[in-house]
Amino acid sequence: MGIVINSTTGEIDLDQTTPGTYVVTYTVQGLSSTQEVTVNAVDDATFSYSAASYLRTDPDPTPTITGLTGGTFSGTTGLVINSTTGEIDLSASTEGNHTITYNTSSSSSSVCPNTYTQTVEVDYGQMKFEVVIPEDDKTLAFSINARTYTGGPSGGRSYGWTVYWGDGNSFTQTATGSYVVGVSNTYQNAGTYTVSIDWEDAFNGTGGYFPLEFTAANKLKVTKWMKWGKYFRIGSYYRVFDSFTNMAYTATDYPIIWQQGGNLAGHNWNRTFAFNDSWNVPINLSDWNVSQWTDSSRYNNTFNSMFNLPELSLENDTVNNGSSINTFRDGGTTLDVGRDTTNGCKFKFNNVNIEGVGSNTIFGNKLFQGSYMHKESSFTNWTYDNSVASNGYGSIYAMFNSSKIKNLSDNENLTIDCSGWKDKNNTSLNLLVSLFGSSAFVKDGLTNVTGTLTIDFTSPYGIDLYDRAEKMFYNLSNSKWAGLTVIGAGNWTINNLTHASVGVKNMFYNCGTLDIDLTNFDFTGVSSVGAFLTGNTKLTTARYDAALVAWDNSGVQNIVNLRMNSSQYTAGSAAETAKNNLINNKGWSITDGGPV
Amino acid sequence: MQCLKFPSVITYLITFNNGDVNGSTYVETTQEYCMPDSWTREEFTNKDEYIKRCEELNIEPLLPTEEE
Repeated sequence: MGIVINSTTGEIDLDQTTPGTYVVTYTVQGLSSTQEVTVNAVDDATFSYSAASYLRTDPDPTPTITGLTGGTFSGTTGLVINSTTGEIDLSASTEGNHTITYNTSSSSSSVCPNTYTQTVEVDYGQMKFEVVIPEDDKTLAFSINARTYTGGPSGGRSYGWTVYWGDGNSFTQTATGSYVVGVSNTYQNAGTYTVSIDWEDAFNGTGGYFPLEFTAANKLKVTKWMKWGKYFRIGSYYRVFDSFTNMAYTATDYPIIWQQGGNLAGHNWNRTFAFNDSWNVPINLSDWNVSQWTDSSRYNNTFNSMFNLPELSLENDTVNNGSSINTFRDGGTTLDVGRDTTNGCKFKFNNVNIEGVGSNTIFGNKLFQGSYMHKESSFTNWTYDNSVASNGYGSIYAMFNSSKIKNLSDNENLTIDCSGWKDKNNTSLNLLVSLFGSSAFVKDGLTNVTGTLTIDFTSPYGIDLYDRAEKMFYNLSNSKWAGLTVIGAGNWTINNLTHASVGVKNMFYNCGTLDIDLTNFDFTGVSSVGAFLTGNTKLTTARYDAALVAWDNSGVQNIVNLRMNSSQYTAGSAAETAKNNLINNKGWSITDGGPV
Repeated sequence: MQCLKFPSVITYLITFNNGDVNGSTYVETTQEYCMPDSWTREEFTNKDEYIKRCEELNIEPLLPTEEE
């Protein structure tokens, strides 16, 4: 760009001028004079630490100076830093974010001094939670229970800890063995305080149990769970936050799991987050080693009654079928999160491997029953290990039964994405799907019957429906849907729906306009075909035309009293010919809406 | 092919093939029911009579689904 100079005043814009040497000429009334001006570049003051955050027990970090050496480091109040090298004395510095500034003015090579800054966190690794102390009860009390246990990690157990009450007072305990210590603090003034607990390095919990024990009255004083800290380990999360009804959860870290990386079987997660109707941040189970949750008795009601949970993610992870049935459901009957009746819970259950299937009740069974679901929920790419299911198929009975959808507008369509499901052996997936979408996907709070609900069941190897598909999609009109589209049904097989009485009974009841590919439906041996499409369900003419032709071409015979309800075929078309042939020559009888 | 088309009231049917009972069904006013010429059927517009006849034949009377 060169030099940027004001031709009248001669002022040089140093910000816009490229460093270099210039000859400036001043001319007045034909006479000129010149002067050589050098514009120097500012010093390169850049430096970097190896991390943005350090524990105070980490080795003291020294930055790499990538710019001009010989400058001076300084930091914000509370940071202890070597002004020459930039080395931070972590153990002597105060906790928090500190800004480090490097100034080149002291460098012997400096021409045009400059500064550069970087923020570094000094983390004490303390557990932190907020309490609100009321005027009429200024004492906060809890116990720290260090119980003896066996089977813990070998060596290094320590019971040292300090409680900082947030008002300048603190309490320190150092001991070994089993003990219960009651700690309390009476605050001078009512108000909001942050309590910090400094667990000694590698504190291993208390017998694997959460060591803080609050009375009911003291639980109510805890208003925010802010941080787990770096040194705290527990093996059991049994009712850790049970009935902390005034508590919000703002921690962005996770507790270090006792024997992290080892087998978590046997650790008790029952009701860990139970009754936490204040919990309002997403839970991402993808960060948790849930594949090691293998003991179903220890994961009951883990997420029970989390009334405000906005998001529950389980993605790119493996779950054990036996445990997850109980983990995600209330008492083994239904998922009991997603109770946010205002916004719904955004369920992100994608790319999930379900291992250890040994019974017919599999992951998915009643899983989202009764839940309030955010419309952006998705359930893609589930891979089942169904090869060992006791009957050769797994039941996802009532998976979305009576679920509600939030955040929809009146005329909005909705797609529930269940695509990509398969058996781990890359074969078709054998499923029992009764009540899968029964009285489901209710457009909560909306009154008009509009829009289309689409279920995407696209599957790479197809889905074999077993035993019964009774009420698979039941009474969706009452859920305020005008129509149902099912994608992927052309890759289903149905002739294992041989239940004694309800194979396809009301499989599609009150679904309104139904758009589904039935061309591959072979009703041979299927029970209750007389109640296949019922209520106001009406297959689109295009789909019915295609189905009639396909059924006629299939050679299937003697399908008695098939109920296609009021579905209509095209008059004078190949479909009409096919229907006549099915009835006249192949022993079919059909109820439908006649030609159109 | 023989059909019962768009009856004025819901009509219940019991169908037979070569004298053997085939099953039960119903036809609503917007519907038609078609079956092979060789079959026979009994028609009922009285639901109670239909149910009674099904009981006599030891078959389940198929009825329109009522919302639960």
